[in-house]
Amino acid sequence: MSELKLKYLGKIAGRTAIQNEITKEIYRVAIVDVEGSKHVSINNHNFFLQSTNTKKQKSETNGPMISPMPGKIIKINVSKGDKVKKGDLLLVMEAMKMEHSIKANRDGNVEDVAVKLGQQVNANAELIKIN
Amino acid sequence: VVIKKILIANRGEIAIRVINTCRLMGIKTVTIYSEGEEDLPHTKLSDFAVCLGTGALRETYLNISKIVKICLDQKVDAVHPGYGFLSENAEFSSSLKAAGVIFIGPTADNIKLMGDKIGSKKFAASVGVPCIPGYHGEDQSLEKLRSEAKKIGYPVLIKASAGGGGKGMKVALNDAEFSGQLDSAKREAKNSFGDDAILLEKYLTGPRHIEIQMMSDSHGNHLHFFERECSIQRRHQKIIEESPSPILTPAMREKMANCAVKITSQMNYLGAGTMEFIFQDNEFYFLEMNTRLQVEHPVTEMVTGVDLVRLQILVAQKDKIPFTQKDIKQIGHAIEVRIYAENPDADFLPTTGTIKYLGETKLSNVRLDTGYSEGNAISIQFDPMIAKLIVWDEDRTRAIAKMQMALNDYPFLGMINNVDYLKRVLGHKSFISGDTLTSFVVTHEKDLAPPIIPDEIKKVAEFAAKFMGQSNNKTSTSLWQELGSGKL
Repeated sequence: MSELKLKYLGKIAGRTAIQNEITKEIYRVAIVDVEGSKHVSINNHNFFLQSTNTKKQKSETNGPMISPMPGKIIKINVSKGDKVKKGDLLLVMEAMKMEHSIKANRDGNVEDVAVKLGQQVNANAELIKIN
Repeated sequence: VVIKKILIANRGEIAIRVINTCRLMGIKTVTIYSEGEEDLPHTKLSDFAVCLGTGALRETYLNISKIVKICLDQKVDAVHPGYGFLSENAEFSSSLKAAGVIFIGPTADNIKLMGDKIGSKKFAASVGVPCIPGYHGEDQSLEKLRSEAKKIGYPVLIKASAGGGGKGMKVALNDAEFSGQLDSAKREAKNSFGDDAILLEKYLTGPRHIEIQMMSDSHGNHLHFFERECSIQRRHQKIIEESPSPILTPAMREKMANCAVKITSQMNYLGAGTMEFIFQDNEFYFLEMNTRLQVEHPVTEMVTGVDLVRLQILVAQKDKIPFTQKDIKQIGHAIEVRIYAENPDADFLPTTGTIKYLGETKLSNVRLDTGYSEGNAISIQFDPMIAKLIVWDEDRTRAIAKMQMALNDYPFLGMINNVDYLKRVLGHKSFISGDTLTSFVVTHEKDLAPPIIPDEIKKVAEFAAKFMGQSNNKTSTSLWQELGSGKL
């Protein structure tokens, strides 16, 4: 990383102008709060400052199966106690009339089905527990 | 007839798009909205706005009798249906006609003929337009469909007969996965269109999607406005459209356009429409005709300089199109990208949130069509498209460069969205070289993964976060204080 000595220049067109006093480079930053993390646009980069993705990826391999999007449960293929193999189709969700399949993230037994057919769920809601 | 007042039976960016043309033509507009949409711009930019109440879409934007009643209450002369919703619903068009209201679109017969995917292909073939091999039969039994799929040869595309917009569309790569994919397509078809009839088609392995913009009046003028290439798609839905197509030669362009005109003139079409073709190995096949204005129509407006909504209104009031085919020129290059609330790095699943910073640009020949403004929430009730960004420049290379800059200027902060993903597609060497097949996003999946953000940029972001509460005036206040304290 090149040397940084940052200075606040003020606002321009809804963005915050920041200058690196060493290189003289100007960054026009748009930044907003989104549920505890920051959504940022700087020059040609857009990103979340505290990425929520790392947390999500972990739970995909260890924790319960969670909904990747807000939507409706339109099909449930398993019930409590069923043996499943990694990749088995557990349930089908729908949002914006698009179907999305939830598949088992590992081999195991279904410990709990936390949703009902027709139920509307939020993103990151617990769907099915496999032990 | 002279249309003086129009009800727009739609919402979001397309409602605003229609309002803009109406304002230029001196036509009053009525918009409709459902409860909970009061904050959205389309409820405030029209001359009149009427609430449809609450409930599912069939109670609101798809409720024909309710909308016809509002038309009568508001004494409108005509209805513009936009795209989606009731835009290709023959019953809506007939109900309006019965109520003495002009439907700005084709005749009910036109809609019926082209809305039937089987009938439309038969018609196209009957006037000598090439079609893709497939099965469009009435027998919908699994055995029959399976044997037809075998006959066509895998991979086979399974499509909702009543479908559109990629919904109810699945690919079966082999016989083993055919019945699973069929079930899924049928379920989506049933949910989206209330009809689970299916058709099968040969799935071409390296196709492009190229379409021709059409416009016909009631005086026998059937014109075309050249092509749009819309090959860049995800989940069978377009995300980038451009005109001209990087692949078409002038001779091929003329051949396709002539085929398209053959269809509109032979069926006695009225209004705006789009003839969609699949293009592969210098051959093209008729796919379907959309009997409405398309999402991507601004691309055509940018290269031809024509206001397509204005023409729709003129031909709906039985005027002649005020120019001829040879007056229409395709100049420069236009690109449109569709900005979606979705996560391209997680299978393009829809996301929700509130638009907290939209952005702005000072570039010329850049058009942002959006139905949202800052502070609006994106809910899952409607399509996740939040905006269309369209640019024009003298050639394709410059149009791509301009779009990159325009996307930097419009980040749509507040939810995970596809702005960065679009930039990565536009910057990919295969896109730049015009090697745009419909399989693009899958083929180049690895190249299109998000890059690592440099530490320096993260440091700048953390530093800027400290000044988030600062308003524009704050600097001038402190400057005033500095001046006041006698520093100058």
